[in-house]
Amino acid sequence: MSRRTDSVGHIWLHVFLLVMVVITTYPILWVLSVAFSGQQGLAFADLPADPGVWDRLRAIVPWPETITWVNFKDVFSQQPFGRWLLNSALVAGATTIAGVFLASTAGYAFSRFRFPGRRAGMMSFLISQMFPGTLTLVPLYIIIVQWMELGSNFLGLILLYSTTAIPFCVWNLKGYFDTIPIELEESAKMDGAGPVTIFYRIILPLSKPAIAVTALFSFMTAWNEFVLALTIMDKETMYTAPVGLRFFVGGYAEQQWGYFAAGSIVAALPVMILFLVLQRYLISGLTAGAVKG
Amino acid sequence: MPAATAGMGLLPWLVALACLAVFLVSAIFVRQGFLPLLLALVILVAGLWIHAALSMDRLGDQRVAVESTLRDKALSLPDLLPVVADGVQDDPAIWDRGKFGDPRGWFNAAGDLDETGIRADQAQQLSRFGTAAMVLGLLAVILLYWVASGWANRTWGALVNHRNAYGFVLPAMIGMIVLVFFPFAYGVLLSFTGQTLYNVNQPLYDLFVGFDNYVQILKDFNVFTTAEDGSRIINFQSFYWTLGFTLLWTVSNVTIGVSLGLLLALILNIKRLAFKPIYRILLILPWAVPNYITALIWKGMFHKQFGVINQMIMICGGEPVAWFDGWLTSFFAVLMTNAWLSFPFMMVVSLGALQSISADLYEAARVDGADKWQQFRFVTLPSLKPALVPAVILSVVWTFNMFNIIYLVSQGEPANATEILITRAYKLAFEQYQYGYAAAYSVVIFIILLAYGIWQNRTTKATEGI
Repeated sequence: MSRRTDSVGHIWLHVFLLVMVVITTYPILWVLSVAFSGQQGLAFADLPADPGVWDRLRAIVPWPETITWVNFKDVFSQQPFGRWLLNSALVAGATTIAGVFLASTAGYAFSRFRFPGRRAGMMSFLISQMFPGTLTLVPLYIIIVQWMELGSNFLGLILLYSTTAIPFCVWNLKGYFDTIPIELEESAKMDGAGPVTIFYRIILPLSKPAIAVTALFSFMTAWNEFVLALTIMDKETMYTAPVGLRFFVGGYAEQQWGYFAAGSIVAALPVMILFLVLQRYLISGLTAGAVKG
Repeated sequence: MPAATAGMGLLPWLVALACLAVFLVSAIFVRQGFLPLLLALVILVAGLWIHAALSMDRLGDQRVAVESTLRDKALSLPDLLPVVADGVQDDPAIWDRGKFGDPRGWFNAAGDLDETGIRADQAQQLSRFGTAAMVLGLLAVILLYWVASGWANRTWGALVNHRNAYGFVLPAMIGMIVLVFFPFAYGVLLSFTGQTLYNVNQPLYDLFVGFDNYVQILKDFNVFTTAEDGSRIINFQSFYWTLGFTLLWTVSNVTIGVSLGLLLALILNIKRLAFKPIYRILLILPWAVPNYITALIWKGMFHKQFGVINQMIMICGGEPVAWFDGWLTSFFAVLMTNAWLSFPFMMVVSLGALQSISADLYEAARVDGADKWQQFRFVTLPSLKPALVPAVILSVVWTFNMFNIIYLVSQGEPANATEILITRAYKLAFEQYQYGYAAAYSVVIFIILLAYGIWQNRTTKATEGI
């Protein structure tokens, strides 16, 4: 096999990869152009009455006619998007703290202790992932909104999100705790440390990377969640960012694609960057947990 | 009157307390045998029953008094109650109604209180209480058996022995039980009732309909209906259409996701390929975008009048397509959206697995004279399996329940044709407010997924060795 045939073959691969890259990046460039166009409409360019091929080509190139920050400014000043973003941050922040606490303690128990019900507990967490959202949604609506009267209340969402994230986080953390040598704990036990001390002083500091991934996952679960928030949050001022963004373009009223695009970028950019940096760890936890148990 | 009531009120409590005492004393001698305990339990239930009967009787007297007083007050304030003053009091059927607007019949045509109505209502409540007491009694017998047979002791022993472990699991378990497992059980219970938004305050006991919801869902075989001109129309409301569409949706998405992901991973795994890291990061991008944003972006791009996709079609000389007017084009739109966001996951999983295959395996295969295809078939694919199988299972479950894409892109248009089971169940619950029916629909979804999970687990042993 010569180098020449290799590079000729590679040209076709590059063509294919470039096509794929255009497909994957186009919608992202599209949302950027709509956001920076300063308009509320979907079109990048106004078409003349009898458009030629060039005019039409102009209409699909994701580059706005004028670049302006006005959509970004207006979505905060004309629309309550800042409030929605703050709501999301509050809910997601509290969910992260609660989620990490719940998942790390349970994950530690599943990793280090052998007790009756351990296997059943872990399997029940796994099976709970198969519960269709709508089946628990009606009872949850009744429990949260009608019994606990937490409709349009952040506490209700925080409680729901932290439990939604538990199973994945528990499995992920358990997998990581399993890799920490047990000898470290045994020497601490010799020195008279109890299980709580061992957990806080030895296990947690050693598992910082896994805790970070769990925290990120809990945060993203809450930050990107749509259905529960749509169902429970009735008041417009209590919307989270996803429900608010859908509010711009979902209804039968005039659709505000410019606000949607600008808001999407503000809401998605931080989590996208975090995700791209940390996705290796997410995926390793996922496959390790699923394959080895 | 207050003194007399207080004296009367003491009696039911005395009866109940006496029976409770008898029960507790017998419970102390629980190890002496099962029969005495059962006897004590019967006494307890009987005692509670007498207590309730006596209380109810008293409550009935009070209600008669309250209703009479209310009526007298209402009649003495004609200004406040113009309806009564206008002579409508002649027909109590208009205002003599219960909480849900149901006629009570407590007042006769002359507007005088008819005690028998209230007494009958009281009796009904008593019988309801009787049923509740029987259920409680049954539960108590089970509990007693649990104690008497020594299981309770063993459970307690396990709890004490492993108290550290249970202590660590407890917070997460409480959360899961209250907000996941209990709602699940409650949802299953709801599926046997005819609860809707309008009777949500009535006790579930009164709304019990047995398997009616399930029968109604599953017997709807009319996937095709015949129109007046003889042509066959698909009945998009049928459960089986939605089920078929969900399967089509899941299979096509997972097939596209796996093949595209695997293909790209194989290409990106070529050693001397230029710009690999750049391609990799650009191809992962769709996975990082929150899926509700992806859905709304594609919805905008598929817009009939201003969407860029129709603009592209017009460049090629085609006519603009009304994407959400026909089920096939609508399906294409949602499929395109979901394929876009789902292949990077498969690509990353495959790439990770490919990179962990030892080069020695290929070396050995080459020595044995295997060509490129044979190397792929006998080295690459088997090595990919442990990572790909769980990823495929996950993506089947995710896609099957991919609410956001359907709900936000096609919204089930046209006429619920592109609804998948999960979005249909959501609309039944939160747009048509048929809570019981929607719960039954969701239980059916769960059973389908569970059957798939069990089958997949049998064939691949994915959860071995937990």
